[in-house]
Amino acid sequence: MERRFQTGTVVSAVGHLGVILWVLVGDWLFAAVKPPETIVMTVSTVTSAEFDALQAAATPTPAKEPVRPQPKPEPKPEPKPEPVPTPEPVPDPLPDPVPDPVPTPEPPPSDAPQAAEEQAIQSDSTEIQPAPEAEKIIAPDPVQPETVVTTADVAAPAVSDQPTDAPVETLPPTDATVPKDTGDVTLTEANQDQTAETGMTTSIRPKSRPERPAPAPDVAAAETQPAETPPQDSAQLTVQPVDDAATQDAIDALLGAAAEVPVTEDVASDTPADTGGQDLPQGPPLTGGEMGNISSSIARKWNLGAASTDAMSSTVTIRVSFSQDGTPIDFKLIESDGPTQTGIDKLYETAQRAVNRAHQDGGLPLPPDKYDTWQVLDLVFDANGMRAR
Amino acid sequence: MLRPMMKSLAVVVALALALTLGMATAPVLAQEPPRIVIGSAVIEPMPIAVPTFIDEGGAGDYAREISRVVISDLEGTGFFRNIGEEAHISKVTSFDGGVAFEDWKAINAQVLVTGAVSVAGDRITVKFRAYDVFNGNTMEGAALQFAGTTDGWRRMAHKVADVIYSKITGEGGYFDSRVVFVSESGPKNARLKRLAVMDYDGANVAYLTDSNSIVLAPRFSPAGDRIVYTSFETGFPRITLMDVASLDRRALEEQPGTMTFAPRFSPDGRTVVFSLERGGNSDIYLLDLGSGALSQLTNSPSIETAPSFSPDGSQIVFESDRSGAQQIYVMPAGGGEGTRISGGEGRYGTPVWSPRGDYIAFTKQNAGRFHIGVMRTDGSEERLLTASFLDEGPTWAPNGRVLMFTRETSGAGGQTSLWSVDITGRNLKQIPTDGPASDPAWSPLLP
Repeated sequence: MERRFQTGTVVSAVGHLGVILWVLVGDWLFAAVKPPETIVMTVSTVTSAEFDALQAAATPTPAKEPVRPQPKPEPKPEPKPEPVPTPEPVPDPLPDPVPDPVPTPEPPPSDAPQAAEEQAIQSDSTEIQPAPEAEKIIAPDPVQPETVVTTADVAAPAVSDQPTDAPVETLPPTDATVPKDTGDVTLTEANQDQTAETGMTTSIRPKSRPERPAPAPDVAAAETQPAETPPQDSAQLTVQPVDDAATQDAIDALLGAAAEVPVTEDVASDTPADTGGQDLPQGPPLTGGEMGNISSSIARKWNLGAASTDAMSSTVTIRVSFSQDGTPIDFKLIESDGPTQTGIDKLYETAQRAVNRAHQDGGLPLPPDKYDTWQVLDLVFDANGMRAR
Repeated sequence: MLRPMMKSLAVVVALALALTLGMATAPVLAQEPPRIVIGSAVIEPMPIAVPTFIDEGGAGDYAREISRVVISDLEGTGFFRNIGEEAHISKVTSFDGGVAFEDWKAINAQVLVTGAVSVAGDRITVKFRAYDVFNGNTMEGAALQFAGTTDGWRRMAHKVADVIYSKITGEGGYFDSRVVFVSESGPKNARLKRLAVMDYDGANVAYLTDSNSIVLAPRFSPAGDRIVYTSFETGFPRITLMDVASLDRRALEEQPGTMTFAPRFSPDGRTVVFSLERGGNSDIYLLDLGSGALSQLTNSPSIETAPSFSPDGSQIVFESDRSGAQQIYVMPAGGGEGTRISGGEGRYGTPVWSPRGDYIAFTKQNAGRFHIGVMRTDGSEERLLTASFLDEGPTWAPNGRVLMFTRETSGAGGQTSLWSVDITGRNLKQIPTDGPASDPAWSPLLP
């Protein structure tokens, strides 16, 4: 056999032998992972008559309780003493704050009217207001950690540890505060349907250049406005209505696809050994529904309202580690794509906020029995889908 | 003979084992966390909390007014929603005191801005910090102090807002800027016009000219210290240069029998590009302000006008009706034929290159309506942002994110006013002015 064929033969033999060995001893060396056992529950059917009977048997006791009260006429005085002690503690704290405000805020009112009057006057001067001096950097974080109790000045505690009586505004997005989201297509004045109010039939042509004045220059003529160009005939109006249903369908499809994206070999090859320095334990895989729930709970908190145009053209993938109670404890940017680093950085910040807010507002829907699986998650935030077009 | 064969066989077996083990272990080593795509988001203003700045001595109403301007600037972008103080759980009483982040999380504030103001004589000092509430720390670079005279307090407030806006969004700020515009008065057919400047938000209006002659199309120089505009002072339109501080002005090009109009500075401020009409034909010219040298950039029997430099000074975008209708063209800064970049239906005019260089804003007339729109510099991705009876003359904010323009209502009593819109088409709003106003031009960010 010629030497040049020997190499091919050897490679072929190696390959075949490898496959044969794999077939013969593969199962023995690497036992297949047993699929999770199916949980079987025995269910017994109950007729409606039996159900009613069971309910009737279970409810009678509470029904009898209201009958049982032994209304002594006397207990009524009891509530009266109760309110009495509660106001008592209230006056106690009050005396403390009262002296506090006295020293500080009272002098300012004398300055107040002066400042207000000065500021209201519109200047006839054409000079720009003086520029502030060069900015001075303040110690970025001189503030004590919130766990440290701040020793109050004489005036008042710096920060209260407990909520005050001030009403706390809960801020769910409402129709009033959330602009109508049209999905991919930004609803602007230009692509809204025209109404009778905004519609028109003719507009004047923009002036390409000023009108040449009358041949004999006249100062008086200069004071009059150039004649307006006559309205031009209008052509067909093309309006691009936003199809809300189609947009919603597209979002739903995208969300569904997001939930079903499997772990791909591409991902593994892109970030081969970067697992956040952790040995990733294997657990039962998350189902498509579970991943979809996680995706949508984060998406509801992923706010791009203050994102730059560059951030809106970026994608970031972050690796998030969770503690067993579902608290996000570590974030790592592992992949990114976008026109500028600033845009990527800002998108990363929005992504972190989204996860933190989702955790803050009731937590992420992480199945407790699959902690080994979701202990570390790769979350892909693709803002391109939300880019205004 | 046998020995080489054994040797070959051993090699083959070793390779086969290695291959087998490699195939088996590869998937285990490549084990990755589950990958979840977040495919949708909400677009809503970010909730922030800006408690009234603390008076650290003599500040009086300044503390409250500066807080108000900061909030107004931020909310005016449409990006933020301030959470009123009545909802605050923690009361900030000391600038360097502790911050109970849990209290701010509880009211869903994502960013907290604290500040303090002190006044001594006519000197005022403003300092602030912006906190990322969920991360529980100060945002990088968002702990600064400004000092100046008390009559510059509004600028300080704008600067504070600029820093906060920039740190959160990643865009440059634009609050500490001015706008020059044409203030109008009188009936529509005999309108009096004069130049005026104001803060970007309509405050601090000051008039630069009287109303004895018509003025049009003012433009700031790149440094913001000069203005070029079209004046009818001599009876003919003439481009005129004005020094903003002294109000000194001079006509730039006075060839008999010509009209000059639509001037705009080059990015280095040394030259002015404009239109010159001679014998019924308008072309674009470049004037060197230092030497007075004039060079012709276009030579066409059609009307070429409204030139605007690219930020790097290498190209000029302009409008021309050489195709029979107004369209937008781009040519090298040294002149030339130009390449048409607008391709849609209707007429396009008043193109303006974004200071970031990524978009060109324009006025479009189509189907009886006017639009302000933007397109990429090659004409792609055209997007119309507004629609009305008459919208025209867009001007870019220094950060290239916001446009201001003139809107005129229909009818004999129609009025002009100034409006602004985000380049996404959101946050369309009117700029408050004392009366009718038109032809706005944004200054660069002030130093």
